[in-house]
Order: sequence, then structure tokens, then C-alpha cells
Amino acid sequence: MNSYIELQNITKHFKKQSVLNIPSLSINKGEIVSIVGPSGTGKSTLLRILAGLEEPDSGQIFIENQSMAGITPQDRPVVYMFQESLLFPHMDLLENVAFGLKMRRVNKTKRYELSRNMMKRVGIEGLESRYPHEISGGQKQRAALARSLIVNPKVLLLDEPFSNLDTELRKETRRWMKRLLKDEKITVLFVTHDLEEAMAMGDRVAIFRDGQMQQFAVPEDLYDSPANPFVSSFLHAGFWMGDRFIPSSTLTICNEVNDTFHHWKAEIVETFFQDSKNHLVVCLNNCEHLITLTSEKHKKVGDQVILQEKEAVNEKGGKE
Amino acid sequence: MKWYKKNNHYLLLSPALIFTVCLVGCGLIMAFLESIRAFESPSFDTYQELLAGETFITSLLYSLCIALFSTLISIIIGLLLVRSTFPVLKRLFPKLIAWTPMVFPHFVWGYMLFLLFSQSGYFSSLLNLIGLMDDKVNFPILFKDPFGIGIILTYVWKEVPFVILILMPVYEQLSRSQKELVYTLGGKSWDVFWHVERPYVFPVLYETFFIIFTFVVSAYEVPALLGATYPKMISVLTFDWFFGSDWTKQPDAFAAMILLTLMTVFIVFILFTLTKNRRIFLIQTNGENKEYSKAKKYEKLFFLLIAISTFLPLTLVFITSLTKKWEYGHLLPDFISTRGWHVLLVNSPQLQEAVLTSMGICILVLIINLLLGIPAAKGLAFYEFRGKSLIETILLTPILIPAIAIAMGVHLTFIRLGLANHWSGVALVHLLPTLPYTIKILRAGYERIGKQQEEVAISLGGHPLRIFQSVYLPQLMPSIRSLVFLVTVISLSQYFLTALIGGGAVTTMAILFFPYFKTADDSVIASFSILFAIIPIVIYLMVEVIFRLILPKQTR
Repeated sequence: MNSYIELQNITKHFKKQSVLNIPSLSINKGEIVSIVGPSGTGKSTLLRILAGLEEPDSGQIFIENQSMAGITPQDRPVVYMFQESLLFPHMDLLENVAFGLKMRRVNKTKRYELSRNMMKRVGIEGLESRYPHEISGGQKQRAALARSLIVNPKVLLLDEPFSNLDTELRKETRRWMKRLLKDEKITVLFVTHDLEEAMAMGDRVAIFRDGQMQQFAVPEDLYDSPANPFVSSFLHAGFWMGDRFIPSSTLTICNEVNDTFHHWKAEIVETFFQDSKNHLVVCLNNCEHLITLTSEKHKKVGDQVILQEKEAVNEKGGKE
Repeated sequence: MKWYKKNNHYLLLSPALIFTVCLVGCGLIMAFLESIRAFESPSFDTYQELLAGETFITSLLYSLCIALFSTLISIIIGLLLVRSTFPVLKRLFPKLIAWTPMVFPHFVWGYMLFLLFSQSGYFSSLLNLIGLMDDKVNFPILFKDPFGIGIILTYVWKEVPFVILILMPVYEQLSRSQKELVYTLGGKSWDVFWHVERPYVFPVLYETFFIIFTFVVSAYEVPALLGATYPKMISVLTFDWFFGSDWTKQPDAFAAMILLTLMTVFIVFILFTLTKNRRIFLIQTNGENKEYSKAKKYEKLFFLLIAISTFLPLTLVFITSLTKKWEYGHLLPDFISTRGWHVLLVNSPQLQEAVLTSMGICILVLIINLLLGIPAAKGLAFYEFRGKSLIETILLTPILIPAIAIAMGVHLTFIRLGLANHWSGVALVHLLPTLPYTIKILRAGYERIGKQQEEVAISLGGHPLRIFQSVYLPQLMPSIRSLVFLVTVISLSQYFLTALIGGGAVTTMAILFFPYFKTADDSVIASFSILFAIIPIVIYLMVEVIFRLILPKQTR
């Protein structure tokens, strides 16, 4: 086994209902893996099992070729970070950050020195004697990260760490966090339900549905060759024609129908302008698939359009 | 090992559960066996005689009526006061003023009201002074009267702060946005009360009703001091039968208590079934929303009412304790002296012993309460499991079932175990009226902190004991402070339980207070009354110092 984290046949049931079933999953050292999927699909359960906060019904976990069976959550080289920052409200930030070292009985001078350095690294120096209720949401997340990183975990588990932040702060925090995590060369599992966040943070992305991993690949592969219709529709990546997958990146809106090639009728369900481009969300008429396209053309919601593959349009253009 | 891991909550709950089941179960069974004279020739004759005789039935109905009136009036006044003064009451000092009566045992507070409302009391005296009344006999008889007005007055005065204490957290949690929603949809303030407050407040009120009702119906101390010779409340009757010279009356005492137990269980059960589908515990907010409070109409006025009702008896008892002579019809005492205090503190060697015994019992009761209560509270707050509501009910039984019945039942067992006539045995029965409160208060504390902090701490490498010490204990301190007060005051208030298990060998302050009360030397009784409020404060300070030493220092 060369991989850093290795999961084999992990299953977990709640009240006789399967909530997690992973035949195998390997993660490399220093890799950031995003886990994305609709809510209630066992993403958090996976993290909790890795952290040792819950026990799997069956299966094994190896970290650096060492089995985690029977190892208490305290002794695992893994730190779990929750949705809310969950800083201890009765401690100031320095004490919060130093908590893990205190649990390891590092002496006071040493642990406060290390904590100050860590706070500098995450950019919250000067807030040492503030209490959690006195600082902003972004600062809380930074403090929580510092508290997690101070114990030098081999693996960091992030459970929707940005969900309590507003949009702009979310983006800023995730960029900063990714850079820091890459610098520290920490292996990270990152759970989110936000697709954009998953793609931005993860080196590889795992897509979950009903406790089953649907696909685990780099973002490009997910979009270009999704493993099944769930993945493609979850990503709005395109649609399937029989066995052939048609990525939305190859589709374009055309004005007239060219009968020699396939075409699909569709209805515009949403339009929005972002990043200097006009985005159209369209719904294919015969199936419920949603696809997001960019287009120069201005369309209104409710307009009927015709989609064709770009190659086909180009070919036609070439003939003329 | 695996079983232990998966069933952690049973392990946490079992100490408190085993204690409660043993004491309550054993007590009730033994009391029942005694009532049918099972050790001679078992029969239900005693029950037949009781139910056929007028004494018992009158007494039972009298008790039920007094309990019902006291409870309903307390709850209504408490609810109105919380609603109308809530924004003021959120602040520390107003809160302390509202809760001050809770520091006094019921019978002490009863004495303080006696000073105000008796025929020769202060109000009568004032009326005489301003010329509205020529003689004290014209003042209505409110104490030791057949209608039990004095008893009801005492209970209401004491229980209103309790209702306020219980309702405050509920009103703190009520979400402002829901109220505003009702207003924007065209609702009036009554609609707000009915649709926003009621679903959260009423379940709490039902529970408060059970607690106060079952307490009042079987409590001994207040009716014993302030009740009339006829009719007697059931607990006083039981006391007379049990401790009376006629030994053949003892089974009657047991039977009376068993019948009272059945009665309360029946009433609680009926009310519980009627209100069952509404007793869902609802949490509205995570406590983080800081609601700005709008000043209410007359809130200052209502708060003034609370303040007067606290300070009037308090001031009077304080002045009385320093009075040598106070003629009827005079506004202020005629002679001031510290004689009362002198008699109490210097000339009564028994008192010093009683204070020490009381404090020893209080401290032991507190320690056992915390040892049993902390794990049980955590188990109830953090885990969902089969049979949880059953376990909750069992843990609540000691305050729903008359403690006197249980104590009378375990009395013989305690004698055999060598616990009777000793202060440790007394401390054990004092757990009956205190442990359920401890568990309730600590559970609320744990729920407020939440389980995730523990998981974070575990993930960061903390072991259970260290996590408790550095994460949970500091945050549980507010809960622990309030339970120290509550437990100490309840323990100090026990006359019947102490007399029964202590068997005359254990002299606590309550035991000593009763004979003093009959001496009618007001300055001594008043000084004694104040002493009752000082003890909880002293113990509170001691606990505070101890926790300062245990808790990790916050300074760097």
C-alpha cells in the first residue's frame, strides 16, 4: 500500500438503514480531498468514523499503514474540525489555541509560545486575550484552524468549515486556507455541499450519494467523463444519450436546425450574468436534465432553444 | 469493553438510578408492609378504618385544597410577574431581589410573614397607629386559622420566586422573530401569547405544577408551625400518629402516607396523560441571538411589587431581631438591643452544635448530589436511547412521591444498617428532595454547552477527566452555583425527615427552631431566622473557594 490513508469496506448503519458503504478509498499524502454530495449522504459520518468519534460496523482504516482499529480518538493522528468554530467560550483565544498542547501536558511557557506562533501563521496575532464572542466569524474559523493545526495532525478533517460565513468571506477564507494547508503539507478531507467550494479546495473530489461513493477523480475528469447519470446531473455537467455522455462544454445554442446532426430542444429556466459572461440554465424538453451553458446570445426565461454539439455547428459553418 | 463504549449513557445514569430506585422502592414497599401490619397478622383493617373515619378524609381533602390553591395562585402570579417584568428581571440585581425569598426555608419565611400578618403583627399595629382599628382582635385571623390562609400565603410567597426561576430561561429562549411574525400577520398580543409563548411555557408550567403541588400536599413544616389545631394537614396528622404516645396508631400513619402517595401518583398521572401530547421539549434558539428587550408597560411598577414583597418581611425580621421592646401600635421599636443575638449565639451551646451539624449534613448532601448528579445529567443531556423518558420519570419520583412516606419506610432499614440516629443517614434522606433538582439543573447546563465541545476536545487529544475539568466544569459553574443554594436551603428546611431518621440524636437547626418558635421570644426567633439565610451564603462562599482551587487558572 502506497497510499497515505486507506479505507477498506467501511459500512455503517443507523436503525438498520445503511448510511455509509465504501468498498475502498485511498488518499495520498499531502492531498486535499473534497467530499461533496446532497445533505444526509453520510459525508459527515465518514469524517466522524475517521476521527474515531464513531465506530464503523465493519471495515478497516489505515493511516500510514497503521490500522486505526482500537485506537482511541485521542490517540489518532487526526483532528476533526466542526461546522461551527466551536471555540471554548470560557477561554480566550490563546488558551483555545493551546488547548491540544495542554491536553498533551506541554508546559505552559512552551505551549503559549507555540500557540502565539501558530496564531501569527493563521493571521490572528494580537487577538490572544480576546474571547470567542468578541471576534468575527472569519477570525473564529482561523482560530479554530490554529487550534487544530497546533497538535501537528497527520490528517485534518474539515466538516463544512465555511458554512457559517457569508459568500465573500467564504471565498477569501478558503483560498487562504488552501494555501496554508498546502504549505503545511497536511492531508485533508474536506466535506461540503457547495460544488464550487469542493472544486476549488480539492485536488481530487469524491461525490457521494446515499452513503455510496459515486466517483472519485480530479475535477476535469468528473466533468468530462462522469461515472453515471447521478454525477453528471449533480454537476450539471451534461447528459447521456444511451451510453454516450455529452458534456455541456461541447454544447452550443444554434438558431437553425441542421438535420444531419443530433439536436435537442430545451427551455431556458434561469439566466444570470457572472464573470463577464452570460450563463443560461436550460432544461432538456424530454428529460429533466439541467445544463448550464455560457452564451453570447441574450435569452429570456421561458424561451425555447435548440442545442447542438459545437463540432457539428463548426462543420456546418465550414461547409458554408 | 465494547459494551461499555456503546452503552456509556447507562453507566453514567446508573449511580443516580440505583440510588433512587433503592431508596424509593424500598421505602414504599416497607411503608406498605408496615401499613398492613405485615409483620404480625396482615390485614387491610387499617385502611378500612381510615377511609371510614372522618379525621383522615377531612385532613386529606384539606391538604389537597390547600395544595391546589397554593400551587395555582403561585403559578398565575409567577407567570404574570415574569411576563410583565421580564426585561428588568434579566439583569443581575433585580433577579437576585426576586429570588431572595428562596434563601429562607419555608417555615422561616412563614414566621416572617407571621410577624407581618398576625393579629399582633406589623400591619395590625400600623392600622392601629393610623386609627383605623382600636384593638388587635379586630384584625382578621390569618394564621393558625381553620382555612389555612396563613399556610397558603406562605407557600405562595415562597413559590412565586421558584416559578420565576423556572420560567426565566424559557422566556430568555423565546424567539423574537416568531413574535414579530405573528404581529406582521395581523395578530394581537393575545395571539402572541397563545401561539408563540404557550407552546413553550405551558409544558414547563405543567411540570412546575406537579413539583409544587406534590411538595405542598405532603410538606410538614409550615402547617405544623402555622396551621390550626383542626383541621390538620395530612402530614401533621401523620406526624402525630407516628410520634404520638399511642403506638397502635403507627400503622395508621403508614397507611395515611401510602394513601397520599397513591393519590398524588393518581393526580400526576391524570394530568400527565391530559397534557402528554403537548409536553414536547422544544428548543427555539441556540441561545446566540441577542434579543433586544422592549420595555413593557408598568414593568417598573411590577418590579417594585416584587421588591417590596422581598424587602418588607426581610426588613421587619431584621429589625425584630434587634428589638427589646416593641409596643403594639408603634411605628418603630421602643428599645433596641442585641439581646436576641446574644441569647442565641452565646447562651445556647446547643445552637453551635446544631449549626455545625447542619453544615456538615449540607456539605455531605452537596457532595453526594454532585457525584450522582453530574454523570446522570450528562447521560440525559447528551444521549438518546430507549427508555429515556422512563428513566427521567424515575429520577423525578423523589419529588413527586411524598418524601415522608419514603423516609418512614426506610426508617427500619436504616436502623438495621446503623444509618439511623446518625447524621450520615440524615444526609442520605436529604438527597430525596434535592437530587432531582440537581439533575435537572445540571442537565440544563450540559444541554446549553452541547456535546460537540466534548468531541472537539477528544479529537484534540483530551481524556475524559481532563475534558471535564477544563471544558465542562468551568462552564457548568453557573448551574453549580444555583444548585448549591437550592440544595443547601432544602436540606436546612427538613424538620420531619431529620427528626425521623435522626431520631433525636441529630440536632440540626430546623430541629432546634421548632421549640424556639413556641417560646414567643420574637427577637431570638428573628435572629435565628436570619441565621438560616446566612448558612447557605457561607456554604456558597466555601464552595466558591474550593472551585477556585480546582479549576484551571485563567491568568497567565
